Amino acid sequence: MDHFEEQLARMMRSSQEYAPFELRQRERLQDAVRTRRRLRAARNAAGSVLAVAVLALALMLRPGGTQQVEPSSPAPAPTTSVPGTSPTPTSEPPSSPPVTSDSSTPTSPSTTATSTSTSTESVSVPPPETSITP
Amino acid sequence: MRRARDGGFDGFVAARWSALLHLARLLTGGDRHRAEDLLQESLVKLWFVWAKVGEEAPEAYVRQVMARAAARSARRRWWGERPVEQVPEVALPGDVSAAVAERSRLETALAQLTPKQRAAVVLRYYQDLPDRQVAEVLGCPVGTARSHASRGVARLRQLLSDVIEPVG
Repeated sequence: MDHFEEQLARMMRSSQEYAPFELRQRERLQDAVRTRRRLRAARNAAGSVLAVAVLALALMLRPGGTQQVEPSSPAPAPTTSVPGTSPTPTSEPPSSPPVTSDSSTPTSPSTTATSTSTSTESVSVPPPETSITP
Repeated sequence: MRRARDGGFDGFVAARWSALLHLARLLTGGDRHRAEDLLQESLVKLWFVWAKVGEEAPEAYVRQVMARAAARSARRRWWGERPVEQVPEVALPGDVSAAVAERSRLETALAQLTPKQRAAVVLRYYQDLPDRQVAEVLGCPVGTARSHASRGVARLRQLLSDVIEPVG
């Protein structure tokens, strides 16, 4: 630090004059803090409202969002209905092969008859001409 | 909690107001009103972070905020010279007004610098910070801060040559 720089530093320090923190400056500072706090609160509130609005808009504009909200169609009724309501004869077809009518499972003939009458699914169903013929 | 913060904050401001205002005045090239605005803005920012920096280094925080704001400022001090009705008398040696005249010359010279040069010179020579800290406060590389300070001092050498006599 040369002579000029030393003198420059001295001038900067010696030029300081005492300036008390007056009531006017204190009130101005408090007002500025209060204003800034209000501004921050308003900005935060506006940000929250904007975020909620954007979220709601995104939910509304989601592709197929409204259709997907609805519950799906009711589940199909079970295929095993009451044997008495079936229009098909409950009597065991005489032409059924004896190997399928197991003696340990007495309900198997009725279930096979019901399944052939209510649905087209072939669950170990014998051919129609053999089961319908009396 | 807020009362405790306000108490500590108010105490700090009351204790350091004069020194901080002088720093702000140097950073603004001597403009008293703008210096007070700069200090007020910096203190408002300090109030919001008082819980973090209040017990550590509040003055360093205010200094950094003020220096960066002053260095960013693109405004030049066109109001450095105001028209007066009477021309001030020439200061005589030993006169009380000599100090005032010297301060006025210093502020007028500082006002001729760019904001970055002025901030670097004030931090370097008034705050007595090393180049590395000047760079940290201004948020620039050390070489840039050193360049600002050296150019500012070179300019001040020209402007204050008749106030500060060379040795020898």
